[in-house]
Amino acid sequence: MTRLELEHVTKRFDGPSGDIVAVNDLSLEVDDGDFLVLLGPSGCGKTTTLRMIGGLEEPTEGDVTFDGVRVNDVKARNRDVAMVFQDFALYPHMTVGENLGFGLKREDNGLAENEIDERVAEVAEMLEIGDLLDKKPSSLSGGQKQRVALGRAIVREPRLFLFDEPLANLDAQLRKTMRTEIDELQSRMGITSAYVTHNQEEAMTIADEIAILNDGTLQQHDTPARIFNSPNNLFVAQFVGSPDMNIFDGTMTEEGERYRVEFAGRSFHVPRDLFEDVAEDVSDVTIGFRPQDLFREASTEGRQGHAGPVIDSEIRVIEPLGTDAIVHAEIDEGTLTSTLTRFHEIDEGDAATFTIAPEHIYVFERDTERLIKGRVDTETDEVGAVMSD
Amino acid sequence: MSYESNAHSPYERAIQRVPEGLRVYLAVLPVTALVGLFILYPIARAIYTSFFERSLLHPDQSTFIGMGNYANIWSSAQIHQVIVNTVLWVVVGSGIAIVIGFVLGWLLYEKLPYVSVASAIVLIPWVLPRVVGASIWQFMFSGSQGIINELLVQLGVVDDYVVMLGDPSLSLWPAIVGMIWRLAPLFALLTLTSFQGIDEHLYEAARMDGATPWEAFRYITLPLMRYNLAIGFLLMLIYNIRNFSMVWVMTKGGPGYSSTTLPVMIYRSAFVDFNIGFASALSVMLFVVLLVFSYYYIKVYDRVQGEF
Amino acid sequence: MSTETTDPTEEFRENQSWLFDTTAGVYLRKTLVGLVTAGAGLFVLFPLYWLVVTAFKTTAEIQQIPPTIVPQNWSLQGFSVVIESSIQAGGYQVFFENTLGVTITSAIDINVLQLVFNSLKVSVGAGLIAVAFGTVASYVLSRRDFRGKNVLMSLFLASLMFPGTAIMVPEWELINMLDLYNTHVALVLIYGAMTAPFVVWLMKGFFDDFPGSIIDAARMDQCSPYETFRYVVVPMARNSLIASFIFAFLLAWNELVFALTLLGNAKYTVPPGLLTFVQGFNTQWNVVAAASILVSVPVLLGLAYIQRYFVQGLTGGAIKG
Ligand SMILES: Nc1ncnc2c1ncn2[C@@H]1O[C@H](COP(=O)(O)OP(=O)(O)OP(=O)(O)O)[C@@H](O)[C@H]1O
Ligand SMILES: [Mg+2]
Repeated sequence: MTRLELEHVTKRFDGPSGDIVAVNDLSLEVDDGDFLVLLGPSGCGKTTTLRMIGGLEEPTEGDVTFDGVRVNDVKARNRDVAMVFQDFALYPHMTVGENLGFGLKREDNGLAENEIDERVAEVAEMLEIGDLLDKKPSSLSGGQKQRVALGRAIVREPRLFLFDEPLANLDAQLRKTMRTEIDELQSRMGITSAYVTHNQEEAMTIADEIAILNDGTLQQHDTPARIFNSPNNLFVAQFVGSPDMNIFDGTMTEEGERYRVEFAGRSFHVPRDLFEDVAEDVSDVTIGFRPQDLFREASTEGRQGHAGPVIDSEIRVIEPLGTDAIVHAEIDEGTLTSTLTRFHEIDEGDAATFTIAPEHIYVFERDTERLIKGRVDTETDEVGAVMSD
Repeated sequence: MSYESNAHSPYERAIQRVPEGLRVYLAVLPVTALVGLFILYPIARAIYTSFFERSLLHPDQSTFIGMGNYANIWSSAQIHQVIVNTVLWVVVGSGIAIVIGFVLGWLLYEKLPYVSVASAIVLIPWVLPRVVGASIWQFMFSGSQGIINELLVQLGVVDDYVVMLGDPSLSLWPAIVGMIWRLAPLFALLTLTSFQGIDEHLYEAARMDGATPWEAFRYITLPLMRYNLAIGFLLMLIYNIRNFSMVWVMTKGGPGYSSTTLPVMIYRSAFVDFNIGFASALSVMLFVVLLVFSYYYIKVYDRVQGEF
Repeated sequence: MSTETTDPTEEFRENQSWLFDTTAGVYLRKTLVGLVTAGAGLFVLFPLYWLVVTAFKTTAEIQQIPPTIVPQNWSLQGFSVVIESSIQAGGYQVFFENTLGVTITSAIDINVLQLVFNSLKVSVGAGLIAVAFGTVASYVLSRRDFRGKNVLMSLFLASLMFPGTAIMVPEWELINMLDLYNTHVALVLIYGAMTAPFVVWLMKGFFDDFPGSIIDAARMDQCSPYETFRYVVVPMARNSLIASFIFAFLLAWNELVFALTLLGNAKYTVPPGLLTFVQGFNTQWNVVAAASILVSVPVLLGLAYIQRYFVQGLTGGAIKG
């Protein structure tokens, strides 16, 4: 029930060799009940941001506000915020039940002992850890610990949930189950949440909105679909999506109502209205396209009437993933990566011709790495399908 | 929604009235005061008293005599004996204790089963009340009832029982043996802990690299243990030079001054001869030595730990 | 490598060591190790064995020449003398005569039970002071940075090196000045001061390894720093706290110098009392041994508990167990 706002928040630490700017002039707004994911590579300041929201660190500059109230100098314990830690941070000397009830007991909430027990039992039931209440954390499995950590946050019904890579210590299977569960819980309780991860796939599935950080600086704050299709810059484009995007240097020239884009010796045309404000003199660009958007020319999926570039290549490596495969192919200018469903027809060493729809190609200014043309979804809402591995 | 503080206990409310920056000092104050008053102040006090002539019987009457007490130390015949004894005591005692301790530690680590039980047993000599340990050795070294005399006679080393503790040329040695017995276990445990701190995989890697067990020891174990061994070495020196009870219980420093070490001398000067000024000057001598040892201890410590 | 070799295993025989790779070497090594083990074991254990068997011999057997390695007849004479003399010195013999009809007449009167009681008083007091003060300080030293911290840590480390003999004279002066001569309070304070640095170092080691996220979690669970300390840190530190207490307790239990110089006979704790006992009884070693064993019991119980923390405590955390 809280609208969270960060206004020009900067955090500096004294490092051994001068200041470390962990978070740099970050402004974010999260509406009541929204699920924000902070995404970025290791060391980009995600945890620091989260800790400032929770009151575990104080911003060097800027304000953190809850519902418009500045909380910079409100202590963590008075902010009514709950946090789930990567290593769970369960109190080892308390039973599961005591762990769950600990926060409630500390609070000035006027709850009687038995009311607390009731709340604990209720939450334990909800998370299916009801029969673990008398156990100590050391005897629990990773998934169970994770549930207890979640429960400890939920039971307090705080105004904010904070998650710091809560799934990082779990195995792949459990990670998927738990992330769905967290998502459901959050929507059900409607509590504003901030969730840190460096796993882009997790971010895409769970988030209402994603804030991508790099080197302490906000790169983009948007919905997952927009992050995927209209990344602000090359960094964001490369950070989301898997396998990695194909990147080539190219040039661009204006030809009336359209642009002629050349890369790797191929050229194709794109209508002018697919571009966003292109500066006058832009000619050097960076071209990117997702492996999922590449088609084999000979295949039946083949040409769909568009005028995309045609690329001849030689297949080098096929990494089967079950129903589809990641195929690495060699061209004179580098390597192409694509995901193919019908990979049984081809073999390493074969020649293969690929094509790609111009709508699906990303174009960035070479020197600023700013996006000038994003990916246009031909079929709406295919992002989910594209994202799943 | 207001964000008022939720200090629950009166104790905490009291703490909150102390300015943030001072709270840490509040926390370290009790220990600092205690240590300052009962350990650091006496050190300063001893330096001060060492410039006075003062008797234990009339501690309120004292005369400033400058370096007089130090001059007396320099000219005292007994002190030379005491210094020789102390050097022997520290060097021989620590040296042998370290060798035996290291071997014992290695045996505990490598050869003996039930490490935790075995090392607890090995530690007994160290934790036993000092008086108890010393009196066992006094008994074992005693004349006709002494088992050691019996052993020496049986082995043919001596013809008849020797009252070692009463023989000025021998009286220091039984105490040294007793001290080795007390300190070697300590060094053994330090060694054991150091061995345990070395990652087993390093030995496996060394074996794959073709090292013999001896080479593994020489090139892996020893270098990795060197700071720990230095710490242990310094502790041996410190505990040895400080020791009072072993000698005092076994011989009271006698006959004459034949087994008197520096700490025993301090005690005798102050509480037998009642000369506090002189005893303080001797204490200052001991400080200087301890200070040197402590300095190196802290230096090695910094190496091991980085900054505190 | 030699070219004439035909033995295909030859190339695996490089880098051989006589001591480890030949039969003779291995036997020699094993024999040496065996001898060393036996020698070292004998050196450490024999005095302990001797203490125990001596306690169970009769006074007559003690005076036998040559001494017997194993008691000819196991006897509790030593122990009973210790207890009788305690009862007599404590003035309870009338009580025993009246209620049990036993007449107690002991040649010496040293009240071992009183010594033990005095020592308990002093040691528990010192242990509590050291643990309470030391833990609070170590928590702050481990988790905060402040001006003077390094100096303080070095002082604590150095103060581990000095106590005892080096400061017995000025300590005597100080205690007289404070008018605490011949009081147990004096010893409680001094032993507290001597052992608090141990506790600081031991507990600092514990807090340094303490997972920071648990503290963060407690802050999130609405704990004030004090509550975090009280409900989360202290319970988790239980074992280390007990170890610290035992450390301080043992040091106080065993300390001779200050007890000897700062107390009068009537207030003696175990070490100086035992010393008097040894000097009064050194013809009856069985009695001395029995008393020694009795006063060592708490030490041995304590040892069992603190063994794990021993090295860390003694070295001021320089070496971690
Ligand atoms: N307490 C601190 N003192 C000094 N520097 C810090 C501190 N905490 C974080 N930093 C630095 O701030 C930067 C951002 O750290 P942060 O923990 O926020 O990264 P992160 O995005 O959470 O990374 P990861 O994915 O690895 O957890 C890093 O360079 C880190 O070294
Ligand atoms: Mg992080």
